[in-house]
Amino acid sequence: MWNLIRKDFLTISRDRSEVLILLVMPMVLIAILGFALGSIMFGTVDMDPIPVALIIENDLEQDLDHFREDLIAEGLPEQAIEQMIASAGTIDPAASLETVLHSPELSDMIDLKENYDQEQAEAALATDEVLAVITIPEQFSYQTLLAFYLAEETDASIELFVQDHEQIQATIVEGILTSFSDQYNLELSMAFATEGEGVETSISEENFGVINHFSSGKPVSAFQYYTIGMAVMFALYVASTVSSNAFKEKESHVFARLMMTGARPLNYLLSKVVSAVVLTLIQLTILFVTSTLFFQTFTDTGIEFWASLAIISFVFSLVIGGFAAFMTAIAIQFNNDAISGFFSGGAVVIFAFLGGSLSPVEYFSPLMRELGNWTPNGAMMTAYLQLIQGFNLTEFLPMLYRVLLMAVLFITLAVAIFPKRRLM
Amino acid sequence: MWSVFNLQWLRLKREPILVLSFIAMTILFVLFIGGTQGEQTITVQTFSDQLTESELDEWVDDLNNTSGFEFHVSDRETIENQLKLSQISYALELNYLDYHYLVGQDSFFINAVNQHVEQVYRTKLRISEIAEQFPDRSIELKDYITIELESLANSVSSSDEGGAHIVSGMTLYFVLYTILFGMMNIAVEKRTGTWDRLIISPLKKSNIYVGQLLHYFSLGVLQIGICFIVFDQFLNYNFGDQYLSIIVTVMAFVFAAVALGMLLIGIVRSPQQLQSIIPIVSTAFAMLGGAFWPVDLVTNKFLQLLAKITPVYYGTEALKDAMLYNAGVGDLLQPISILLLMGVLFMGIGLNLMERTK
Repeated sequence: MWNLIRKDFLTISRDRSEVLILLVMPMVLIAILGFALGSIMFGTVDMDPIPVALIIENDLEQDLDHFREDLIAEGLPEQAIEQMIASAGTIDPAASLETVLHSPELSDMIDLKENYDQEQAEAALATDEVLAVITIPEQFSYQTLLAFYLAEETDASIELFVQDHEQIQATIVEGILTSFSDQYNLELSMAFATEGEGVETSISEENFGVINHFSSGKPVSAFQYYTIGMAVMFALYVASTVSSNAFKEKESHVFARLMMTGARPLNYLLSKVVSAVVLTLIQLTILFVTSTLFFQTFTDTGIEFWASLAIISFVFSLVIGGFAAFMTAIAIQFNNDAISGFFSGGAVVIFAFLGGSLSPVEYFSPLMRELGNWTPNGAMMTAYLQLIQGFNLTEFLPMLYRVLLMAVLFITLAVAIFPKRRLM
Repeated sequence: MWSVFNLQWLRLKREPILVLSFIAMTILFVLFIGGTQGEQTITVQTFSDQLTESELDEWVDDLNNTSGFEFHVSDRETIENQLKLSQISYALELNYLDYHYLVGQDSFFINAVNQHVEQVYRTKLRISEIAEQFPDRSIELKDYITIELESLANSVSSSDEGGAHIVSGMTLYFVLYTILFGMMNIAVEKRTGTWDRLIISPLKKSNIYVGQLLHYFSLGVLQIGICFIVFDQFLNYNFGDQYLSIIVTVMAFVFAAVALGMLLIGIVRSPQQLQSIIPIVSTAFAMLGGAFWPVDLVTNKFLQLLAKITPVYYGTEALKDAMLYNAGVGDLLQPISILLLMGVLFMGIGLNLMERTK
C-alpha cells in the first residue's frame, strides 16, 4: 500500500506538466485576479484620479446685471431687487458646483484641469488627455435665477462630454454631477417652498450608510477570495491527474504487473484515494502558504484559524480522493480515459464557475448560488469563506457533512464499478 | 490538401463532443452571467428591525423608483443565512432615520448602491423636516438644473456595453479552447505516427499544413458563427448591422488563435503537457485580454500592459466597436492588423519550431 502511494507521488511529481497545472497555474491566476479585480470588485477603489476639464463660460456678474434688468422690467421695487440680487449670489449653482469639484474629498477621484477652452478640451478628450469635459454654459446662472425667482420654465443644464458613456470613469463623473444636481435641486425646491427661510437640519453628513460587518472577522479580501477560489478549483485537477495516471499504468501494463505480484485490486483503488488526498493536501498547503508569503493573504490569523483551515482542507481532499477513485474505476473498467479528459476539460470549469471560483456568486441568480453550494468545491469555498469571516466550526459543519457525504458516495460508486475479475 | 481537410472533418464528425460542449458552454456562460436581456440591474436585499412591514414596503418602493436597481424585501433571519452561505455579499438595513449595510464580502456594487440610497434618504428626510417645520407648505420638487450627457462614441445598437462584452468575450474564450484543444490532434498524430505516414504519402508538406490549419480555421469561424446566430436569434442580443466588420474581426481572431495553437504545439510537444498548457494559456489570455471583465476595470499598470499582448484584447475591443458603435472595417484597421500580425508571428515561429524537430 505504502509503495503504491509512493509510486503515485513520484510519477506525478516528476511530471512537469502536472506540477505546472496543479501549482503554477493557480498561482498565476491568483495573481492576475487579485491584482486585476482586487481594487474594483471589492470596493476599495484605488483608481488614478480622472482627468476632467472644467470650462466655465458662465459669467455671474454679467448674469446678475442681466437679471437686474429683467427685474426692473418686471416693475419690482428697487429695494426688493437689491435684496434679490444680494441673495442671488449665494444660490448661484455655478459657484456651488465649482466648490464641490474643488472639494478635498473629490481630489482623490478627479484631477481638475481648468486651462482649456471648449475646442481644446474636446481635442484633449479625443486624445485621452482628459476623460471628461464639464462645461458650465453661458447664462447658466441667469437661467437658474429666472427659474427660481420668476418661476419661469428655463433650461439650465451642465454639459458633460465623455468618450463613451459606458466607460467606468465617465460613469463616476456622471455620478458626481448627478448627485450634485439632485442635491442642488432639492435644496432650491425647499428654499422655494419656504420662501428662502432657512430650514434647520438634523441630518449630518456622516450618519448615513454605515457599513456593519456581518461577523466578527474582517470581510473577505480579493486575494483571500481568489486564493480560496483557485485552490478549490485546481484541487479538482488532482482527481483527473491521479485517474489519468492510473489509466497510463493500465496502458503500460504497470497495473497488470502489480496484479501479478498479488496486490489486491481494491488496495490499488484505495491507494489512488490516499494518493489523491495526500496530493491535494500538499497542493493546498503550498498554495495557501505561497499566497500568504506573496500577497499577505492569511496574515494576522491565529493557530485556531490554521487548524480550522486544515480541517476543511482535509474534508475537501477526501472528496477529491472520491473523485479520483471514481474516475480511476471508470477508466480501468471501460478501458478508456475519456472521463479524465472530460473532467479536466469541461467539468472542472463548470464546477469552478458554479462554485464561485471565477467570479463572486453575487453575480448570479439565487438558483445558481444554491446549485453552486452543491458542488464540492462550491460547498468548501463557502466553508472557507465562513472561516475567514470569523465563524465557528459549528456554523459550517453542514457544508462539511455535505461534502463528506459526496466523498462516501463517490468511493462507494468507485468500488462498485471497479473490475473485480479479469483485471488484465 | 483537401483530403487532409476532409479527413479532419470526418474525425470531427466521429467525435463532435468537444466542439459541441464548448458551444453549449459559451451559451450557458453568457446566460448565467448576462441573462437574456441586455440591461443589468443590481439586486439588493433589504430588511428592517424598526420599520413595520408596510413602512418597509413604502421605502422599498421609493428606492425602486429608478432603473438599474432592484430592492427586495426580506427579513433578518433569511438575510443572515444567505450572508453566511455566501449567497449574497451584502444587504441593506433600513431604519427610520438612517440605514446600514450588513456586509459579508466586500462588493463592487456597494458604492453605486450607496449613492442611490443616500440620495433617496436625504431627499425624504429633508422633505419630512420641512413638513414638520412648515406644516402649511407643500414642496414640489423641481429640476432647476439638469445634466446633459454627450459622448464621442455614440452607441447605435440597443444592446448595452455589458451585454456585448460578455457575448464577445465568452465566444472568443471558448473558441480559443476549441481551436487549441482541437489542434492537440496534430501533436497526437505526430506521436502516433499518422503524421509520418502522411509525410511519406505523395502529399506535399505544405498541403498537409494548409489542410490542417484550414480545418481549424473554418471550425473556429463556424463555432463563432453558430454562437452569434443563437445569441442574435434566440436570446435577443443585438449585433448592430456592421456584419462585415464583425466577420473580418472574427476571421482575424481565429487566424491568430490557430497560429497560437501552432506556436504552442511547436513549443510543447507531448499531448499530455499540451493538455495542461492549453487551459493555462487560454484562461490567462482571456482574463488578461478582458474576456471576463472590461480591461478598463483593471488599474494595475503591468496587467494593463499584458492585456495588449493577448489576441483576446484586440478581438473583444474590435467586436464591441463593431456591435455598439457601428465601426466599419476601416475604423477597425488597427486591431485587425495587430491580430493578423500576431497570427503571422506565431505561425512563423510555430512552424519553425515544429520543423526543427528530428
